[in-house]
Amino acid sequence: MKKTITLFAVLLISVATLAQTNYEKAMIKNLQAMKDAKTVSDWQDIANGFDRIASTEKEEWLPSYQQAFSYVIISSVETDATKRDKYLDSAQESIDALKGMETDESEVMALQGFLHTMRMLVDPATRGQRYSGLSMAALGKAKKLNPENPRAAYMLAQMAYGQAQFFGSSTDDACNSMNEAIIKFDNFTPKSGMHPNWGRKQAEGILKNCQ
Amino acid sequence: MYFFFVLTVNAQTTISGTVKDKKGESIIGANIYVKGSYDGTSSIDDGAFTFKTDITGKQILVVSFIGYKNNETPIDLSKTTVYNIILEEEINKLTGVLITAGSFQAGDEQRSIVMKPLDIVTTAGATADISGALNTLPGTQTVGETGRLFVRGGESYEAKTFVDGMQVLNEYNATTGNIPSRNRFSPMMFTGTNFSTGGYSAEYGQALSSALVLNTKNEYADTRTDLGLMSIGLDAAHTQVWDKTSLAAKVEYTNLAPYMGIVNQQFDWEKAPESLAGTIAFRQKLSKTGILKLFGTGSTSRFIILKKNIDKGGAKERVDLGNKYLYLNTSYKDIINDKWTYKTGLSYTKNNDDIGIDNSDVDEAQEGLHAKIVFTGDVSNSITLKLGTEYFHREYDFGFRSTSQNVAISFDENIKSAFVEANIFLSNDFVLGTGARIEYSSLVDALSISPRMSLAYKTSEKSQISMAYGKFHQTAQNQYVRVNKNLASEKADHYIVNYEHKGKGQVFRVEGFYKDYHSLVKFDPSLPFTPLSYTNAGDGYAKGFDMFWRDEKTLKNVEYWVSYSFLDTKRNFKDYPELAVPKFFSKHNVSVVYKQFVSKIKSQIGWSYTYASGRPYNNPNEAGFNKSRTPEYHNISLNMTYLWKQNLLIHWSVQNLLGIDNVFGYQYSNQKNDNGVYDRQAVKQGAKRFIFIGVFFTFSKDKDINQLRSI
Repeated sequence: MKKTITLFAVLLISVATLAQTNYEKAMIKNLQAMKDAKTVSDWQDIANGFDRIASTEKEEWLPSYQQAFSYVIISSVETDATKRDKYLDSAQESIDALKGMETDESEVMALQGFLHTMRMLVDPATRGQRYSGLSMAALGKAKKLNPENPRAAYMLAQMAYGQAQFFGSSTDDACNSMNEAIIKFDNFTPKSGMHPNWGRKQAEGILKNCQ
Repeated sequence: MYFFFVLTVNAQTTISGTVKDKKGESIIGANIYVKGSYDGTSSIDDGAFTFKTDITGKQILVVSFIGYKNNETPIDLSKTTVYNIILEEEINKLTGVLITAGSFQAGDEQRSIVMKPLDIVTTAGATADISGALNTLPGTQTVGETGRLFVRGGESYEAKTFVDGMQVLNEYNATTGNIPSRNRFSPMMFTGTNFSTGGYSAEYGQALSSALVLNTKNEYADTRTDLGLMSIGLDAAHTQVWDKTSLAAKVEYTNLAPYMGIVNQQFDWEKAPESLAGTIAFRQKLSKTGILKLFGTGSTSRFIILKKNIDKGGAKERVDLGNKYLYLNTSYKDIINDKWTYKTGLSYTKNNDDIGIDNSDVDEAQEGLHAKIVFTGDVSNSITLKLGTEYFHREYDFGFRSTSQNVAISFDENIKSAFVEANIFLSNDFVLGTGARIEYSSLVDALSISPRMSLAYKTSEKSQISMAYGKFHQTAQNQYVRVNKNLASEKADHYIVNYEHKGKGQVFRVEGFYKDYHSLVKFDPSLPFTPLSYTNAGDGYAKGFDMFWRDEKTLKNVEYWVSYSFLDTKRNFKDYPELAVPKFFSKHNVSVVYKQFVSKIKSQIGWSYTYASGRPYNNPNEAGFNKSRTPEYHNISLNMTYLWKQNLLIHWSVQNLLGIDNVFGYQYSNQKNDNGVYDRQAVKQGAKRFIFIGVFFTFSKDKDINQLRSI
């Protein structure tokens, strides 16, 4: 009897961990694909992958988060400006789906700030005022929720750098902020291989101009 | 131990096929998967897809792609079948075809067609006046001595303003004969503007020609303090933003005395215009989806001018105008369920004009209340419905006191209305709009039903045709109703058709219209105080077309537009002896507006040119009525906005740079002079040129706030 129960328990546990691993496997497969993704269709495929996981794992926030992130990246790769908004709409839909779920709100706000910036870049002349304000507010909230969030830090430094450049004023403050953001990246360990871990390359790219 | 290794050997099933749309075009990048699993793939060239799955039995295949309805097909995984899926377009009411006949939309969103709210501030010649900027659009006539909006052969009273859907009374600051007024609202408060040149929605009424719908900002992002120092006065504003709340308050003091002391004026001011105004905007998120908005503005102003009165032998008349104004507007919107939303609002206007003309005194006061509720929802995937009801209450008081007379008249009006409007999307390329407005006015004492119909059809990816028809009516103006309270409403029927082509960064639009006016107020000028002298026997017509071209692509960092309007209109109304061209008419109106951002000098520069054909005036020395024409109107204006520092902006503008002495008309005396000829005086501009300079600072705890976004 004891042997049967133990076997049964082991079977149950292995079935349970198998199911969990399937989810992890699928997430990590898509995240790996991001490294080589270049075109709109590459990223669309990745977004579709996350969509499939999100429609099954209704309690998990990471699939919708990564789906939103993929759509924001598509809008940056898409060359036709008239198409960018519909990708950003899909990204926003995925972020909105996170309401009511248990998430890392600082990361969600940082992604929202990134989305607002991309929204602005579609038509900076018209949207500059509204969306850079919204982006600033979202990133500020992300920073407040987690002062060590490297993504919020680098995007705020990036905005400050852009403004300093435009006004012809000193970029020293912005560069210092960017250095601090890099240090935050150094100190940051994602909770798992599926958790948000992007932005360092972009931050380093801007830091190059500081030297 | 065997059962550990009993694995059901599942034969993998291959699922393949194609994804296309109704027209047979392949859809690339669609998501195809087995519902409840991760197994799936994306469609590639030719819409083809193929993937393998271990799942068995009867399942559902889901196919989804942006802009299309999700397709769910029952499948049986014990067989290998090829699935050729056809996706149905999702009616996207946000990005689908839009009815544009008679309407110009300006906003921050993708759908903005014509103007951005900032265009109003940066259009040279407009000096941040909403009407001034709208006057550069087709369908408007330049009537410079009033500063108001004259739309397609309609008088300025035929255009009404709404803020967040709520009525605004007396939206122009107080003025008297031939001194231009300005719209009371600052364009920076608004995120979206819908300017109709006719055929507007059944949601609005009581405007014979046009509805200007202004939508205030939904959110304020930064906590900041703004200070403005201008050649005409100063202003200070503070915005405070919390998590769910925002409050913005502004105080403006205007005094033209110092400016008029330096720049020569053609008008003779005893006291230059001076005013003090305050504005408040409050927003509160009451729930996840409900937003409460409160908006209020109040002002007090005064000027004293010495006007030559041709009827008093050229002697000057002293006109002393004082005004007090209060406008409050509150609105609340929320979601009922995933298909329906509602919005409810209340607005209150109180306006007092106190005018002293030499020894006589005119007091005019108007108080108005407006309550409204609107429900908007999706009745089906392709039909949106809007229905609502509203109530207006208005009180008008008029008093005239002179050495010989003492007149006091009052009246009030209650209007109850209900409206319903449906937009039926036959496809993403074809939409039909139909609606009606029912109104009962206590003053007119009659029930009116005004139908509205419109449609829009996309002839190609970048072009569309749109049409609109509607019946409009408006209670007669206060100065006539106060004498004869039994006047019926004035009426107009609109017929509009337009064609629009939108390329990347370019818009071309041509629109033709016909307006049939009837029931206009007529009176006998020799009996101004006799009620029976006022009737609704007047009528008229207005027809024409306008063209618009806007380009922000051809020249780098440059945006320009050209608009042309042709108008043919005649009316037999007011004291006209016959059907004749009205005095505010001009046959051709042209506007060219140019703006360029020069990053080297961190500035936005712009110029504009406005032309209007000569205006009609009546010369009693000659036969016929309104047969004479003034010389043509020309105006070249310039402006520049310079970003000196991150939080410091300098703006200057010159209106009528060349100092052209434009004449808007002639006033003739009502008595012949010694030579048996009627004398006249010209109606001209207040000054040859108007120069404006302003310096604007922004302070904020968050050092990242800057003025760049304000350009």
